[in-house]
Amino acid sequence: MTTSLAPARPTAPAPVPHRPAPGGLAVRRVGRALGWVAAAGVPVAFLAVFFAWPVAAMVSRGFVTDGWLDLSGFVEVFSRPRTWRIVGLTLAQASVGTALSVLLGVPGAYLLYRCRFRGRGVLRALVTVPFVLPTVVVGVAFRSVLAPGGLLGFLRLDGTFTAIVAALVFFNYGLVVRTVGALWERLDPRTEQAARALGASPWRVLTSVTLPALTPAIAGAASLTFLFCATAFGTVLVLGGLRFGTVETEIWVQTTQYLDLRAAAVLSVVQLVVVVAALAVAGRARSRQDRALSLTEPVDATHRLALRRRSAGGDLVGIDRAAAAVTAVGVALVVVPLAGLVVRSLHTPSGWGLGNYVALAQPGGALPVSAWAATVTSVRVALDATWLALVVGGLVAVVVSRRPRAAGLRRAVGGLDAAFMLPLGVSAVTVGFGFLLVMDQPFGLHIDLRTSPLLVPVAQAVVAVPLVVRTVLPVLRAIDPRQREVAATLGAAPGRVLRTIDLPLALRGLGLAAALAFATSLGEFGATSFLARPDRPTLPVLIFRLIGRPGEATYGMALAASVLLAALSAGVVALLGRGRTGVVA
Amino acid sequence: MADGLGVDGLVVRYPAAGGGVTTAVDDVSLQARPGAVVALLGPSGCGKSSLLRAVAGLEPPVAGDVTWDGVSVLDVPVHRRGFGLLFQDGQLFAHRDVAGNVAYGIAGRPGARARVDELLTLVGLPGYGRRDPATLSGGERQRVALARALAPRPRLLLLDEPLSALDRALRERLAADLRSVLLATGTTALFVTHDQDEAFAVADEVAVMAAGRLLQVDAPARLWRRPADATVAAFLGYEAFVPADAPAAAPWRAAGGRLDDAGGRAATGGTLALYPGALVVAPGAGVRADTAAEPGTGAPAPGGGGLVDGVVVELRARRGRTEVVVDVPGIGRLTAHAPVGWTAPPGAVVRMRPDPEAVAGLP
Repeated sequence: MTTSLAPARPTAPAPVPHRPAPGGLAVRRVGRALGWVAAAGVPVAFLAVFFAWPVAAMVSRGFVTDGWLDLSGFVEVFSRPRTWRIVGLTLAQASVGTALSVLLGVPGAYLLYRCRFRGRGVLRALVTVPFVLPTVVVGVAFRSVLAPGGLLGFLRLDGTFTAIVAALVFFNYGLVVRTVGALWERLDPRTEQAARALGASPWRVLTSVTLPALTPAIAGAASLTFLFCATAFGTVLVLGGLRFGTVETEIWVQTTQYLDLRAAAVLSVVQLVVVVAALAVAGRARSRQDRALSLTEPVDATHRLALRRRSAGGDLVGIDRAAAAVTAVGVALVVVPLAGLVVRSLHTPSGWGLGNYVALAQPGGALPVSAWAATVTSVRVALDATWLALVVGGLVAVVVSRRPRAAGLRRAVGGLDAAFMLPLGVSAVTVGFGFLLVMDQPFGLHIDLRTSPLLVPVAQAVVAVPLVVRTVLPVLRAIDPRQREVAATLGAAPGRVLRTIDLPLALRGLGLAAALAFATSLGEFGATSFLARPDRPTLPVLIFRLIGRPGEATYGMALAASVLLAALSAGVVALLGRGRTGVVA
Repeated sequence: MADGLGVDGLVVRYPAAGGGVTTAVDDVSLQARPGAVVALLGPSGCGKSSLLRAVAGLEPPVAGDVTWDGVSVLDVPVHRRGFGLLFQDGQLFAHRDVAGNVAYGIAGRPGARARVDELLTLVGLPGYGRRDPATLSGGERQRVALARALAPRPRLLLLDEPLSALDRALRERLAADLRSVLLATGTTALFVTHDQDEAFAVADEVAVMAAGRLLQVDAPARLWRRPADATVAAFLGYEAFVPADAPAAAPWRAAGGRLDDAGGRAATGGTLALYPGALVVAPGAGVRADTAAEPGTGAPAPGGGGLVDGVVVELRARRGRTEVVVDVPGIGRLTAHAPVGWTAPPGAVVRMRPDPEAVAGLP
């Protein structure tokens, strides 16, 4: 075999020959760039038309008078004691709710992700159920337990601050457990073992090594919990009555009860500020977590739960007992309202039985449709919203998962990521009412989209897209870029790489994403309450109308319908998202 | 027009952390004739992987050219270059079985199935087609990755530290297998490694790279005997350098042997590079009796009869033989070889004979 190699020339660098790019190449490059522009452009257009525009239209009602910017609304609204009371209540509820969720959730994460015991799988599934439950259902469930005559009626907590905070914790407990647990599960146990070998007690290891390592996950979970608490709508509206509320419910009250769009606009901006601040904290925590996680390898770090001093992990007894006790409280908080709801739904004016469920087939309480009809409407709407959210969210995830070479493009990709998080927290009520404002003759066209059957699904998809992005993106980001490089060197064009490398792996996350989008859409209430046509309400809207009416029969129907809705949401997530430990954050 | 791969004045830069740029590949030129296996040898971070990625089309060079048969391929996208790539960890597609991986680059072509079987047999894994990559050992995974890379008959195969993730015994066996597979398929290959044994075992030509620049390109034997300079020699493991006309170099020059060749250069004012084992503790020339009783008192001096004296610093057991680190006046610290079981206290003066086979002459 003959070879010939020229060593590096010691002379000055050779001049780079100028080479005009052949036309075919230029066309291909332009084609690929156009592909990416389209992939980013479709979701951006969707977000602009169905989110930014309605929100801007709604907000501008408050600040534009006769074509001039008018900020006097701020002064006027903030001079009302009611506004300050609502803002204070929102922050107080969210702060207390977040603190309790974290205090209960972190020991739960330890127990469910670092210990082994019988029934752990069931408990893990159980604590995530509330997260996918419709907010209206959560409100109804808590009321069914706390109201006079309910399981815990003797506590006299119905319509109190405590009840609202408990419902918020119920809702977000699983989020904290899952987010923190997912990191805890992958934390390298050898760091802790090294600390133990240096003479640290289990408690000292926990406080000086483990918890600091978990800080990014805890901070991320806490900021998201704060976000969900601060923007809670359905739950607070059902539980709060006239005395309690959040900025979000107040926007609804100002819009629908007082028709004060200026106050609603001011409050929307206030909420936006809170949301952006919380998202910024969550984003920073997440990026720190990504970095921290890259340092660890998947190792089995679980130990058998040690509740007795003589069991295998004897020196962990103290920590395990404490975690088990706290988790028992958390699990009770999840189980009691759900059990109470189911039990109460079986209670009819004429004794125990399935009467309330039978009644779902008939239009009741002077409503135009039966609960079954509303269920069919809900499922149809949710199917449409799901595919919309999957297409838009999937495109966003694909674009955001790439790390372009140019710094400007990288920033643009980061901006896209952030922009699609906004619907998580921007008032759904604002979006819903904004839809009503702009979808009548949009762009000056003589059509009224307010009657389009796609209007409600589109609004719900806007709310569901962030969840889809958050579920699919980590899967795509976990793909080693060299997998795509290898595929390219084997002759695969960019389209084939996307189809044969990204897609098969993304499909794993897509099932869970679809389930979450479907559940979100099923339970969406804020925007839907504005947009659903009176003769075709979705199930949450119907439930809300039912509980607003007097009579034990209609109340029983509301409970039965809530059970139906809860079972539908949880069932879909359990079916499609089975075995997935993706972090919903 | 040169046949095969041509790299001409290639420069690759990355944005550095502080906002500036790092030049990973600095004006590198080399060629590989069709069928040749060329190793790019260098310490980690020397830019050899960047050079490989630029040749593959995965990094855009800021200057220079990559050609095949004299025609620039810079404008040809990765998937049309016909350059295969083998990563350190194989990067098998976990969602496809072994056959699915090997067939990825030839999907839809006639005879793809037969080709998959043929390649699996070639890499020593016949009948592995239905296996899940997750069930394979590290060595098996690299064999599958090699079969996958060879399947589309790439005109050039790029190998990025393909054996580094494996343990030593497996690495040595696979290096031999790799060479025979590359020869059997007549594949032109560019092989990146930081391990000189691997480079010498696999390649026809070895290109030594440091700090982004190519220092020397030669056949393994020639590179070994004639390192271009002290940097190359130090990277190859030569540990001491003596001016050829210094008195300390005399014992090796007197011993002749391989040095005749190198000494020709050395005589005109070059440098001798000494490899571990350039001094050997002979059974008959052990610890000097007058110093063994009182370590550290005897002054080392050039021994008579072409022998060299040195002070023992420490002893190491290495692969079934004893190595003695010694300080030799006029030369510095060296690693000498000694028979198994030989021992001496630190500070003792030991008498050794020079081995001219472990010496190279530098210009």
